[in-house]
Amino acid sequence: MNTGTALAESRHDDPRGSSDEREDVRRATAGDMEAFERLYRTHVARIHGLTRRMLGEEWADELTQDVFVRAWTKLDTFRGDSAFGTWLHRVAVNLVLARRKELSRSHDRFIGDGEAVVQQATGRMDRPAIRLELEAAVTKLPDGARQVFVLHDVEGYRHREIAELLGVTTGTTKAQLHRARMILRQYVSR
Amino acid sequence: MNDDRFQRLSDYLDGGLSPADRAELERDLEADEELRTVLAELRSVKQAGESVIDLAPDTDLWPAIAQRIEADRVVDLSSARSARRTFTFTIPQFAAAMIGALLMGSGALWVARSLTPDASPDAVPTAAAPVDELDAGDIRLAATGAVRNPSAKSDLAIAALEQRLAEGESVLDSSTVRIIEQSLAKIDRAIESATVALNADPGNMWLNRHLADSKARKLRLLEKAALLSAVRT
Repeated sequence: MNTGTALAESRHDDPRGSSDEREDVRRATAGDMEAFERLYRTHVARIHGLTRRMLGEEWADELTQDVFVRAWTKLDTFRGDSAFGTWLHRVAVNLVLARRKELSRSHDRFIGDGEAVVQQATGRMDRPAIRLELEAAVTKLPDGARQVFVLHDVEGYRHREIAELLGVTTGTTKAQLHRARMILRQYVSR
Repeated sequence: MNDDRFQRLSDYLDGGLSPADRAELERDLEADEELRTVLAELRSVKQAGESVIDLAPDTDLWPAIAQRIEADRVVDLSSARSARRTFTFTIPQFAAAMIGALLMGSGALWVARSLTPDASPDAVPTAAAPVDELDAGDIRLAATGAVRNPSAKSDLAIAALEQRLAEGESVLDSSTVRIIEQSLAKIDRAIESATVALNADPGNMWLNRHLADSKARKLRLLEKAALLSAVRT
């Protein structure tokens, strides 16, 4: 797990986390489940949002559980250099990417013409719910474009970090991001 | 739409162009309305992505997470113990272990017998159903000592008897309770040791038999204690 690089601070994180949160992390590391539950309550929405956007609704609950169980087992590796939320997010991203590799071997949905899929999806949606439309459309994007869009535009990672996570070049991540935005722009232009 | 100017719009939005490229693209933007439209749309997408709202899942996932963590803790504990213990026997040691196991079994049986006026089931006909809510077949099977892989049902029988004993403990005198507890503690240690060893060597027939025998001993002791408790109630 690559937790040593400079991470993109998450959208909502205090760089080091609140003092209450640091205390909960300390307690959880010592085995306090109640403290860990408080950390879960604080961060579950964001982690669930990440897993849902990256892999789709059907995998979100299971993967969110996996993230918190993994985090529990890895708590002693959290050094406190960044906010707990940032660290947790990196745990989640790594798990999501690993699961994506597993799924990509068996799911055709990760391969194909994303624009066509998105056009089908938009035709079934109600016009007022632009944000929800966008969320739904994101999950229909071609795999590579979706990963990069979520990590860059939603989660705030930089191209260099995304390239490192995905094992590709920044040229590729920039091209994928542009592709995703070009597909998604039909939502905001309608 | 596929020309290089459009390709560079996202980089422009993200501040990723060199000053020279940026200046060139801005000149193009001034001259090309379509380019400006696409840039505005891409900017809207970027802003929409940045403003998404994270909602908690419909279902509270914490109970399942807590359950998994607890399960992992048990596994970790067993692994740590098995990692610390390496079972290597010389022949004399093995013989001593066997004798020890036999002595412990005999001791437990002696304690069980000493707890009742008469170990014969016929002697306490009024307590004819010591484990009446349990599947008697399962208990008999476990008690024979022939169970090589004790089932969850025999564990259930043990748990039910422990509960019954706890409920009836108040009617037993303190010295009897102490003897029962000491005997149970010895058997529990034997069960724990066998379980840990089996984690490292699941196919070991001797260990499987030892575990089954230990559980059967515990079952017999608990049954006797429950009978004694029922008689005195």
